[in-house]
Amino acid sequence: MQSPNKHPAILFFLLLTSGFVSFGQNLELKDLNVPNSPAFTILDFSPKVIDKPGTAKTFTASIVNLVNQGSGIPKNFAMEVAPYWLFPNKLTVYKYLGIDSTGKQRNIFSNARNFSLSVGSVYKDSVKSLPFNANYLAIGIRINPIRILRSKVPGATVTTVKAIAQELTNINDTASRHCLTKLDPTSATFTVDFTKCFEKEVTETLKKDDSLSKLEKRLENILAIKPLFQMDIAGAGSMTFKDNSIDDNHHHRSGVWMTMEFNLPLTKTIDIEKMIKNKNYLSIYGKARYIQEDSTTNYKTFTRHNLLDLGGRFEFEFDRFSISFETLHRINQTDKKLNTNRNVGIIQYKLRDDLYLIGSFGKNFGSVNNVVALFGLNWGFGKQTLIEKEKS
Amino acid sequence: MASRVYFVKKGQGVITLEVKPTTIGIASSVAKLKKSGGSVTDVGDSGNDATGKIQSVPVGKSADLLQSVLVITTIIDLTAVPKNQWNQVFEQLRVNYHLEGGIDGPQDFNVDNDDKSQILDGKMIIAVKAIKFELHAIPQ
Repeated sequence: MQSPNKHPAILFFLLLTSGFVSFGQNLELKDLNVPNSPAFTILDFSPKVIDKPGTAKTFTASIVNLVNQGSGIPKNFAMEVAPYWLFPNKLTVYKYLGIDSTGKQRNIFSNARNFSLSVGSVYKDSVKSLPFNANYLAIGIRINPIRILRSKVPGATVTTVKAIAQELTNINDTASRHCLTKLDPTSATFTVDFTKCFEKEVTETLKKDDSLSKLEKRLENILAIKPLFQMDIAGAGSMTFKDNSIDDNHHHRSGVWMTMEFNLPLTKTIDIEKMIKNKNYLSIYGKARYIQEDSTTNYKTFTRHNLLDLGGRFEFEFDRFSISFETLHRINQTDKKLNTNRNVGIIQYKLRDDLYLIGSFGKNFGSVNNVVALFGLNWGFGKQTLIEKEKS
Repeated sequence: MASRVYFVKKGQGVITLEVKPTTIGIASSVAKLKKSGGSVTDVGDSGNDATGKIQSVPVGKSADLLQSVLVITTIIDLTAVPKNQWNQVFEQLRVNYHLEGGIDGPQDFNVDNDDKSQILDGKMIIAVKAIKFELHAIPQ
């Protein structure tokens, strides 16, 4: 019997969960992220194995079906936190965007600060091939160490950021002068009155001023231009808890993986204006993953497999619609007869900025229960399903 | 949200101001002086410097500043920041107001919690700091 407080995975889980409770009170459905965190990926419970490298949000919580049935470890949930953003920093807007004020990419490693920690669980009921109930709990870490922007992007970003700053200064100047002119500085309530007046002036001006909103829209579009190249490195470990009992646990699967992404806009890349308008991309992803897995069919005897996955994904994205195909070859270093492939096609349609319709079809690893057929809606900022039905 | 006080003496020494916001948003700062007579003068602004910094600028001669109020306003635009980080950026906002030339020499003021507010659903942050110039009461 293993005490929970001696188990690092459980300690980590409790730590993150305590954070979830304190932050989670203000969460809205639209803030819920989808489970593309390493902790969830290691459990192989996702329509895509090859995720897009990216930036974790400050704090996100994901729910496939967050149902804690009163005892044991919560089932079917995922959450991710980027610790850097929980503490004050000295970044300016330029450093935050990874560029300098002259319009050059400052360094290609700046996105590494967005490294994230994640935790997730998937509960599976007993089935014929796996005759026991189990909750799979995973913890993970992800870092985006390299991000290379297209050469025209930093310059266009700086130009637009400076234009926004100048526009803000003009609004600031006018509002400040207006309020200072009409208020008496010797009044005891001068500061309060000035602040109210200034907020009102600025708010009204911003609502009317479409030149600022046009610049903001332009900046959003520039920042949405996909980087030429980026790379993610992630690692995760997971445990099986039979019957969701903390005491009855066993190592399930651990792994490290690297994903590289290369994006090619389907337009001329020497013209920044065309790139801003462009919504169509060909993206190529490469993936290498090493996994150590303890497989079982009865939870009494376990067989260790050392697995090396190599593969990639091609994706065509046409504005709201994308179609992709991913293939992974799994080399079983313990028993080469068990080498296998995963080949999955993915179709996705963006209904709104935060709502996706996604379908994923194909063959998963292994020779049994290997049909991937997912279809569902995804409400969040990522691109994996929140509500899904799986047939296997 | 009460005004802060910076003590000056009756003299010709020049008071200077420097403003340094720390934020990942696009910032703009403007400093103006409201004189006791009612006139408003420009002290400085950050122009198109998106960090919102105002480099050291003269506010005026000590003797001319008595009973005047220096008001520094900062607007921060969070367009480049994901919406779910807006509240955190608001919480973490720091602005340093550095004054020199007064009785106490260099003195730093910082933005207080009640100096800042969010507008447009949190997409914009406003920070206001008012600093009064008063004659230093020298104990006899």
